[in-house]
Amino acid sequence: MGKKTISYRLKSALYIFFSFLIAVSLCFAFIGLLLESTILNSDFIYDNMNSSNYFVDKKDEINRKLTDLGYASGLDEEFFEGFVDELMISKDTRQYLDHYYEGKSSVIDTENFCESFNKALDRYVEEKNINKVDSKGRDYLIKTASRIYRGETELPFFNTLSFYIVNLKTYIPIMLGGILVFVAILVLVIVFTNKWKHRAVRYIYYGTSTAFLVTIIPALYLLISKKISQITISSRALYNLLVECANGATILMLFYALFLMTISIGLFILHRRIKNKS
Amino acid sequence: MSGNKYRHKHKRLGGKSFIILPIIFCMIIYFALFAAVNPYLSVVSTGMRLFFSDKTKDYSTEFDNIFVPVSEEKNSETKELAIKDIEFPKYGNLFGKIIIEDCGIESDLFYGDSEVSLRNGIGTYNGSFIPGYGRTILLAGHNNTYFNGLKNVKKGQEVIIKTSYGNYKYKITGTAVKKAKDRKAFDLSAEYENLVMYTCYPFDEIGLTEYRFFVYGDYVSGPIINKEDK
Repeated sequence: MGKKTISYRLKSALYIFFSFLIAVSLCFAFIGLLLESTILNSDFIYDNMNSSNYFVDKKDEINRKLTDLGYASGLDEEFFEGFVDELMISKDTRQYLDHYYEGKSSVIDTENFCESFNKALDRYVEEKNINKVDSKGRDYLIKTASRIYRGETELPFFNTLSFYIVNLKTYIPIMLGGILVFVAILVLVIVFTNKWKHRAVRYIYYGTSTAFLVTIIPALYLLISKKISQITISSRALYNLLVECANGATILMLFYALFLMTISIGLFILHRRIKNKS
Repeated sequence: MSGNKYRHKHKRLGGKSFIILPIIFCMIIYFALFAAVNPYLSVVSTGMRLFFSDKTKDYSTEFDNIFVPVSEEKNSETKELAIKDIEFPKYGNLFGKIIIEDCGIESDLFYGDSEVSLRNGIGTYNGSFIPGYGRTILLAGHNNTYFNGLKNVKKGQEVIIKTSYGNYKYKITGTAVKKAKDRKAFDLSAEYENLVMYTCYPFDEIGLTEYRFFVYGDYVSGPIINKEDK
């Protein structure tokens, strides 16, 4: 085997390794972008809450739980009619989400809820002319009702995730910037160190098309299997929200995959053109 | 010469490499990913099995109804039941009906005492037993709804529990007001069939209370479940 052939093979292997590095970097960029536009984006959850009818379903669930509490504490169903509305839940949830994304360890503020509940209870006792009211039992009732409201409005596991969300929010943009620079360097190295430009394009194509394959597989799996819709959550509001968020994330994955596919096709065409010219 | 030969060979493979190489890279990436998560795979798959079901959850119904009433004629003919012939209710199932005519109580009976069960009827305390099993049956209900009638309960009154495998009668033997956490209020380890019903106390009071109103009853009739006959 001649020296030239060995050197050519070594060079090819090195460029293929660079292509692989581009592919891996683009996959990491994909994860970063996905996180940045979903869980790390404070509007993502809130927008999906609006589009999945979350606040209406949540209002019904809270009212149902409060009515159950009423059954155990001498309150009629009508007491809770219109007591909790979508606007109240929406406002409290927005504030709760904002606090988390700002890195504050926050819980749903139930001050307004307790105040309204107390006033409504006074009115109810007066209207129904009820004499049997135990003050200790009444306080316990208000506390339990506010606990139900808070527990129902807070998102499960969000408290635990908050720490990671705040940290990721700081590091993901840096990581994305780093990846972008790294990929740009690799591309420049491949382009400027290759005598034949069509080969350089081909090596870049390997990277982008691999990243396309890696990203399209989970997106297609989620789309075809409909696995997310089989999740078992007792709350209908949370279920709809989760399915909506997962669908949103799947669409983003598909967009990213299609973007990579377009680039790969473009590079393939470019490769053919340059090769035919040379 | 050899260089030309190689270039010629490469030319032949060139087209295929556009497809083969990305697939190989993709497999390497997924294999690396698999190797990285492999130690946690069993934990993840167990978690997945906990959170995912084979079918989409149906939110249109809150519970499953397995109650099919037994005619009095058939009930009187059956003195004993083989355990294998009984469809045991699952948690949350509507599996019977409870009637205390003298108190105006007629309500659905659920297995388990979840919010859904108590919202729709009377619940069986988790850890107690079903009628006919020869042990303690502990039933709970809200004092504002289905068990409100317990305030009129008197010694000697009759309680009827209908299930898909038989109809049971119990006689009320007494009542007591005890704290919710008083474990002496009932005996789940009792080796004889007895009925205990409870609700919040006092009745018709605003507020949550720590007291419970207990009603005790003794078994009168109904098919006995033979636990040996499997």
